[in-house]
Amino acid sequence: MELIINQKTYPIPDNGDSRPLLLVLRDELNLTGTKIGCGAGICGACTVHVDGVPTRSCQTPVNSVVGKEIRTIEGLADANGTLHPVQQAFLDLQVPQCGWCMSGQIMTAAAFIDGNTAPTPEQIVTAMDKNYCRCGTYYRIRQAVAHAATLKKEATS
Amino acid sequence: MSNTPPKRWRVTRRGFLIGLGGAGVLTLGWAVGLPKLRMAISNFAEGTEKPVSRGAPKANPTVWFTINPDNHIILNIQKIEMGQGILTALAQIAADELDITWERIHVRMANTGSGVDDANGTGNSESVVSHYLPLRQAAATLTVMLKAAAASQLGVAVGSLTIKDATITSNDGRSLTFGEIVAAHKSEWVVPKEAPVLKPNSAFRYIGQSQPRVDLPAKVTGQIKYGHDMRLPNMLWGVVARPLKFGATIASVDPKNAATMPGVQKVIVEKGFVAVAAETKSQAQTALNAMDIVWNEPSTPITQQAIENAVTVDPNQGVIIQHDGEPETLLHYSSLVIGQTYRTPMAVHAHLEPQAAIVDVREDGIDAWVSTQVPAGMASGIADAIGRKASEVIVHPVFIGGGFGRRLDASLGAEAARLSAAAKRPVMIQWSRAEEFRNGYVRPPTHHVMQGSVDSDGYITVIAHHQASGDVLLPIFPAVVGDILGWDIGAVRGGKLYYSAKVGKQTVAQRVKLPIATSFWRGLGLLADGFAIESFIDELAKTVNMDPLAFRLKNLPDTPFGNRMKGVLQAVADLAKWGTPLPAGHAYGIACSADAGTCVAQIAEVSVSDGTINVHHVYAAVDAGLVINPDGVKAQTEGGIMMGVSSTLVEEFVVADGGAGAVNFDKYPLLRNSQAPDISVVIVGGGDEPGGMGEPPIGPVAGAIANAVFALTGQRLTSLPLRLA
Repeated sequence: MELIINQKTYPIPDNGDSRPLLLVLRDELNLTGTKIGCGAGICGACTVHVDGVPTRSCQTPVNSVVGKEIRTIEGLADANGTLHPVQQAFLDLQVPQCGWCMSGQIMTAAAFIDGNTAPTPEQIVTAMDKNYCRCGTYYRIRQAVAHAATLKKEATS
Repeated sequence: MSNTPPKRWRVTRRGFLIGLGGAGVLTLGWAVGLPKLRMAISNFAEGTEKPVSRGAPKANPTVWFTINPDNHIILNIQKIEMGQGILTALAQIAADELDITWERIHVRMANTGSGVDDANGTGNSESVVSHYLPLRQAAATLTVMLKAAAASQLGVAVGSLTIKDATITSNDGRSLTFGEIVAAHKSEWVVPKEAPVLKPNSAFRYIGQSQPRVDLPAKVTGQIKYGHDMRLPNMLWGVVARPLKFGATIASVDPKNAATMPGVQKVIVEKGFVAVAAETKSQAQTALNAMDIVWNEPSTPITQQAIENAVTVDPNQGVIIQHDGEPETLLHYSSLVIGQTYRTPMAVHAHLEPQAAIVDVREDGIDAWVSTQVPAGMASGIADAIGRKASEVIVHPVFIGGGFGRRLDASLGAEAARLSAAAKRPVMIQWSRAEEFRNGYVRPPTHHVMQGSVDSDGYITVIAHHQASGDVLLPIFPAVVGDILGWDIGAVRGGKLYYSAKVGKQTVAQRVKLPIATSFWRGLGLLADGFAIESFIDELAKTVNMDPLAFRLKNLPDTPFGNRMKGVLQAVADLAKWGTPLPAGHAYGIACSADAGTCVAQIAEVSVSDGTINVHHVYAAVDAGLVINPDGVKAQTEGGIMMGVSSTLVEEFVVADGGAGAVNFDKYPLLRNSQAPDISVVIVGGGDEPGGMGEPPIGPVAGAIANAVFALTGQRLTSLPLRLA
């Protein structure tokens, strides 16, 4: 069985089971940038992109994503290390505290601004509402997502 | 490597230590002396009256600076970064006193046994407070020593030397970098006896500036490693049998065929400890599930009602911990005294990184990577669990995905160590979210009776606070300490009355021993006490129909402390434009509190829709004394407020069927982004001493929101989480 993660191909054992993508990433492939929080699809810490769609990897059977483009936080910056606008915005606004939820926040936000370069405040809240941050950076997250959309628009114009 | 000089430590009477680490690498630091340690420990919970000690603290040498040949300077510090920005703040302090550019300083969380063990751990909002002066003194002394060495190496007088960015230049134009000086220094380093002259505050370049956090670049790219992310070659995964019910113990175990199941490398069945180590986590769990474990449950079932009944103020119980004037003359006899009761529930930490430890027990030593706020305590806990010496254990600090008081427990590393010792391979244990809910410790429930009276001029005549609470601090002491003290200093943190009272005031602490584990949670008793006291202050203001801000300003004492409190109240009122009309259906509430040397006032703007309380905006004014990193202060204020809003609006941990009433966030939700207010912070005050920031901002939140709800609806809500009738 093979997974395509960040444009690289990873062979993984086909155990005939539906173990969660999250555990394959973290425990088998040592891609630990994707985090576990609740294991129940509630907190959003494990969010990755599957064919560009933000997806809870703890609730995603690994055999359901074979052949699909999986992107994790490790593959979000471009090949020469330039940060994605969302990463840059989270840095500019000094958003992370402990940082554990941040790859989930950033992957969620990245997919969101890919589809919406001029989000309203209400759209940002809705997009980010299912990602917990226990350190309480919510207000900065909202500001940073708006800032990221601006950065992205500037970069593409 | 044979010409590498041996590690040498020299202790002078002033407590400095220096050592030569590798070839030509100087390390120097300040031994945090015993009196200082004791003071810090006794301050652990605002214990200004009855300091208690956690036993004799270890004399821990502290060796803070390493100067590399490439002229980069490493600050080795055993404070753990868990999001509070401590690595950045300490680097700012050091860089300023060394007078070096920001790019030249690097911070490293130091291993146990490396000479910088910090028995205090990371918590209690004390890292900046306890390190500010000693770190500057060490840096200034280092500069003096390097100057003396440079003078010798260049053959000139010290007075002819100038320092700029870690390079020392003589007036004849020759210069040496710190790195070159250290590499060329062949004799013993001599620590000057004179106290170093510290830079004047006017020379600060980094202190007081919002330097970007040093840990953030790796946090937005997923590169940073937390305890849960650590992996070792050849490691096994461990799981431990844990009870589903509070107070349950293992009665009997039939391991069945667990030991021969696929991937299983070790099964331990000992008294009170049943665990499996296997090649994968699911193999370990499968084997554990296959065992037949019978649990003894408590003969009296533990119920939510029983806990609330136990945590209820009894006028005949408790220890008077504050008594000024003669409050009893009015409390007992005046019909003018009003009373109110308040209640706060249990809460979990909900750190999003589940606890994790990887421990490698070998004959020649023990290495552990653990998400812990207390590396030194973790080393002892691991050693004790496997009959080894703490000095054999190296705990490698790792970044923590949320601390909040949960990472103080050494049992995590101890369990991994027992499995590793038996399996003779490294073992990782990761807690599940369900284990975190079922088997951790929680913030204790509290109950408060407030009484007070106000005269016709608007002055408080008498005020009294009687708090009942489960334990916070006592669980880390031998039981005898609690029996002697009779009250828990941590539980009543923030509970003493800081308002003036013409006739008198008193605070009573009533300790309640509960059958489930309660302990540290951000701010300890601060959130609960702030809720009770600041709600009640509004109720007192109401008795004389005074504006809640004016009433507070009138009744805070005319002391330096009282003036700082008035300062933050006035500042937050200005920030929020207190007194000006708000949109229809919105109201403000105000509250303040003091903790860890820091005063905080907040105004919450709320509305109500469909029976739900919406918190739109929280304004905060913070007087943390000397501020190292203003954006860091703001971030901690925002974080404390959000955690407080979460407790105020949604969080409540309950016992159900003798166990945890929730095992995940479906039944114990946290605050979500759409419920999270905008936050505005203004920093006021100043001076020469920093205050703590990790916990103080959580103090006023619940009171400010409850007071706003009262202003809006006339409903005085007295239990957290707030629920409208």
